[in-house]
Amino acid sequence: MEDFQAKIIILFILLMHSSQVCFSQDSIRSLTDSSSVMIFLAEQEEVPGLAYRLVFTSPDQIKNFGADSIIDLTNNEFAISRRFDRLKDVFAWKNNFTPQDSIDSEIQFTLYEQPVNWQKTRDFLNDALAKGEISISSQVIENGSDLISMAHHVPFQSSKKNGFGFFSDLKIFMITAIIVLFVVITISMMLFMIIFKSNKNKKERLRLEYDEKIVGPLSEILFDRSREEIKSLSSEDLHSYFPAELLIKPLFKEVLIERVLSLNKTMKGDFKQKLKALFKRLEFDKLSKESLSSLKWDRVVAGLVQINEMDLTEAETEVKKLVNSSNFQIRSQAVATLLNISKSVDLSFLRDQTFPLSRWQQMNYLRIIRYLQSQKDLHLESLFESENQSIRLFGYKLVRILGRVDLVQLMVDKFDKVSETEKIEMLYTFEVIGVPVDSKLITDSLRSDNEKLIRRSALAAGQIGDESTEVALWEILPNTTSFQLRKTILKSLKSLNPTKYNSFIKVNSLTDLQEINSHLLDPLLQDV
Amino acid sequence: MKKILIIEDDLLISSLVQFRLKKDGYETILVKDGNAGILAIDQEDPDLIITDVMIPFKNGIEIIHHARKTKPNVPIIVLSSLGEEEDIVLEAFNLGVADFVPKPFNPNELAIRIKRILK
Repeated sequence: MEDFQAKIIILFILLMHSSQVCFSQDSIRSLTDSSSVMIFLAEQEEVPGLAYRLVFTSPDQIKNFGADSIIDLTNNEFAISRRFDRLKDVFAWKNNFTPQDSIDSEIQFTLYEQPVNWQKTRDFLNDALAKGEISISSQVIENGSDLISMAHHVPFQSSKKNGFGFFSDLKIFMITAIIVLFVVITISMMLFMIIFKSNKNKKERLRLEYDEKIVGPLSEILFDRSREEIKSLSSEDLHSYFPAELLIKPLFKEVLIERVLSLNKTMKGDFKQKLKALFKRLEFDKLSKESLSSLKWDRVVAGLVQINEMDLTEAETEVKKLVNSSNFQIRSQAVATLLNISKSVDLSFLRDQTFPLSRWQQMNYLRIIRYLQSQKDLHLESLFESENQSIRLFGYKLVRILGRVDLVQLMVDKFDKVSETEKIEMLYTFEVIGVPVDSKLITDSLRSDNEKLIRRSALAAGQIGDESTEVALWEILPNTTSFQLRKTILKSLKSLNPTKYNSFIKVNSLTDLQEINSHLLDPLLQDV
Repeated sequence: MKKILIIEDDLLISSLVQFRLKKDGYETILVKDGNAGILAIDQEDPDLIITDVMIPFKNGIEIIHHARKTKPNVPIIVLSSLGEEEDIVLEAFNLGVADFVPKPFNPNELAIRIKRILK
């Protein structure tokens, strides 16, 4: 590879060298092409040693010339005019007899009476310029590119000897390369899009076609065959419904699985059982299990959904491995699937999850847990032992939402050892469930520095507090600056001891206290 | 032969129901949206209408309204996954539907209900 790169670099350098690269046109003060030579000579007076003649290609052309023209007629093929010392004289003389753009004559240069071509003339002039014998005017064109000069009838000859002239101008080359690259990329992208779109359309057409081929046979199987018959269908019978050549096609299988799952959601009773039997008979359960090992997360999730819908309990072990996956979607679906399909599993597998539990996941799991808890013991209390705080908090929420009064004491026993965030959640649970707990929990929380904890404790005190909590509330009220907290405390005090509360309000003329009181007395606002 | 109009946009469900009804000897007409349903009610003269609630262009309640105006004696069965929505159920019965079958459903059970209604 390195040799190849070196060869490429060397070839590139040779190309640039042989093409006689000129990087700075502004520094040249010499004649390069026939146009610049002609323009230069047209402006010059006599150039010592250099003379000019006009050569007429056809002797017939001289018929129009006057008697004072000196023409050499020694050659029968062409005629040569007299000698001129200045090029402008040649033009002036010629214009007298032929149209300006006539091409029936050409200029012959002579150096010291010897005919020469324009290249030798150019070299002679450059030599003279270099020695300072003559000077070049700024009007001379020095552009490196050559044009055929019709008026002077000097044929074009490229100043570059070889065919690599294009590479000599780096800027042009780079721009051309970029444009070509852009065009190639554009064409490639367009081709790619066309092919991609065409494949996608083809896939959609096939899906519709397979859909039509599936609907009829699927309906027949479900109505004509019993569950046992479906389980024991022979290959021949199965292929009479779904041809073998279609069943080997991945897209057909995909569409069929989608249809089976879709029907499973819409049907009930023995139809659901028949669909499950058919799913297994078609060996789609193996496909679902294989999907669990896929590297693509969407395939894994699709497999989990299929296992969940079809109650593939034999896949429990594989599903369990995914409950602690780093991918959120896989993790969520795996937990939901495991809860649904496993007869023996409880929530202890959730306890060991290391990733935080999102609110969406909690909502999802709650729906399943709420349904399952009437069927089996989920050992909800195992969540309290998790090292993951979000799991522990979820556990306390479940106690509250499911009304598990039997687990309240466990929470009370742990109360002193948990974080303030967990205490807030626990107190909320105690408040909602309405089971009186050790008042020390509430009074200690009222004396903490965490305002959220104090607020939650004050709320709980209003529902499940006693005299000691009332005393604690009265103690903290004067030092409370937060309006919300004062409102909460007063509301709880009003609930715990209305008589003392009313007396307190009567003797206190503080504006905010009176406002809070009005708020609490308003039937519409009191719960706001 | 009794003619039953099925207005349902889910191809698989409608095919399944159609299959079952054909086995029972009914002639079935299948349409996928509300506009086609209204056209079919006017042109096909069905003996029974089965309609979903959530269908394209016009919902099932509008279909029922139209059927009550043009074909007041044709019984209607509403088939819907919104079976738990009490107000829809009440509105459907107020309009005089013969039955309301929530999804998920058992097609055999549906067939028995149809047989009972058409008797």
